[in-house]
This record gives sequence, structure tokens and C-alpha cells, in this order.
Amino acid sequence: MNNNTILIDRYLQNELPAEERVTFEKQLENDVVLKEEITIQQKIINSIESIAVKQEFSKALRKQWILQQVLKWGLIILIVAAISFIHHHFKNHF
Amino acid sequence: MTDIEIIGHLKSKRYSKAVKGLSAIYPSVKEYILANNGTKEDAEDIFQDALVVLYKNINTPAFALTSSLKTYLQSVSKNLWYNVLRQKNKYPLVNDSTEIPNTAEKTAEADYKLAEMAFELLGKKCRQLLIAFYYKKESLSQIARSLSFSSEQVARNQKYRCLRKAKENYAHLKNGSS
Repeated sequence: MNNNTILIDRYLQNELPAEERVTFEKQLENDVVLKEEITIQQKIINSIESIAVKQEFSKALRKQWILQQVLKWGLIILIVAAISFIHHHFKNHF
Repeated sequence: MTDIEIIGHLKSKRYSKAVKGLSAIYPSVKEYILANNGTKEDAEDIFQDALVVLYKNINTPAFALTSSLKTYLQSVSKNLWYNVLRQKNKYPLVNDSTEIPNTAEKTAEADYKLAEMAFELLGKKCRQLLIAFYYKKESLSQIARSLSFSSEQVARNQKYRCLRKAKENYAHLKNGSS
């Protein structure tokens, strides 16, 4: 693979001045290898977004799961505490 | 939470709020994966992948939700799981309306997975740098500060090195898989 990473990145990020952009696009028309390299670089950049979004979802889902567990166990502890309190209360009074 | 509210949260990148509404859909996806040779971990991975597909689609101008989000995510999850099973030469047991992807879709998806793997093979700092620049849209001066590069220029050079490395990884993976 040729090394046009910087040039391609500047092209994809719209950082090339108009003149350089036109020259680059002309070069692209006749250069299959360069075209392929752009496609690959674009795929890598797209995958970065996918992975970042997946990480965000993973974090949010984990947070949600922890919250559900805390609520579930909190409720169980509360019920057990209430039952033992009532049991203890009645045992002492009757 | 309505489907429109969930989509609004996703578009604004408020993932935690969106997930509150979306997590109710997960049990049905899990049930399907478990009934079709999958594990709980597979179900989690597939559901996350389906959420990414949803996220990408809602950000395209042509996106229009023609069914409920639940139906949409179930359908995407089934297709994703079908692809996983296909790679393992196992097929879903349940007779349902899962659309079988055509060859072009399969190739595009394989390429997409290769690009993800090429990125995952990078070192931690490279991954952080590229995510900060391309996804979080942070400036190189911000990145230089947060990732302790001595200057913006050093961060820029490192960004190019990381991209180049990812492309090399992709080429190696592609050659290895063909």
C-alpha cells in the first residue's frame, strides 16, 4: 500500500486548498490504487465511529443493569427487613 | 418513553437516556439468540451492534421509521445473528421473516468488520486519539493536553502514524482472510 495517509486525510477532512483539491481529484480519476487507499482510510474512520458508539452503548447498558440490580436487591433487602421487623415485633408482644 | 423520544436522545448522543427506553427491547432479542444456538454474551454483542446500526441509520437523511423501534431492532438483530451463524455454518432454527443478505452485503459487512478489527489492533493511546479526533471532534490542541502530547503538532503526527498503522493492519487482515 502506498503512503498517502496525510494527503488523503486532508482531502477527507476538507483541509486541502481548492487548487490542491482539484489536482488531487484529477489524480484520483486515473489512479486505481489511490482510490482503493481512500476507500480503506474512509472505512477505518467509519469504524472508529461505530466502535466509539458501541462503547457508549456498552457503558450505558452496564449502568442501567447496575441500577436495576441495586433496585432489585434494595427491594429484596427492604422486604426481608420489613418481615423480620414484623416478626420480631409480634414475637415480643404476643 | 416513546420511539420518537428515544430517537431524539440518540441523535443528541444522550446514550444513557436512550438506553433507558431501549433496554425493554433487549429481553426479546436475548430470547431469540438463546433459542438459536447463542449465549447471553452473544445476545449482548448483537444487541449493541443493532443499536449501532440504528444510530447510524437515524443519522442519515433518508431514515424513516416504518415500524416500531422494537420491531426494527428485533429485525436488525435477527439479520446480524443470521450472519454470525452463517460464518459458523449454523442457521437459525426458528422459521421467521429474517432477510437473507445478498453477496454484496456480505462482502461489505466483512470489510466493515475487518476495518473494526484493524482499529481494535491499535494500541490504547492510538485508539483514544483517533476516537477523540474523529468521533468526539476534539481539536488537536485539546487532544494534546488530554493525552499528554508535548504539542499540537506532535498529536497531529501521531494521528497520522495511528491511521497508517490501522491501514497496515487492515491490509494484513485482508490478505490473511483472502
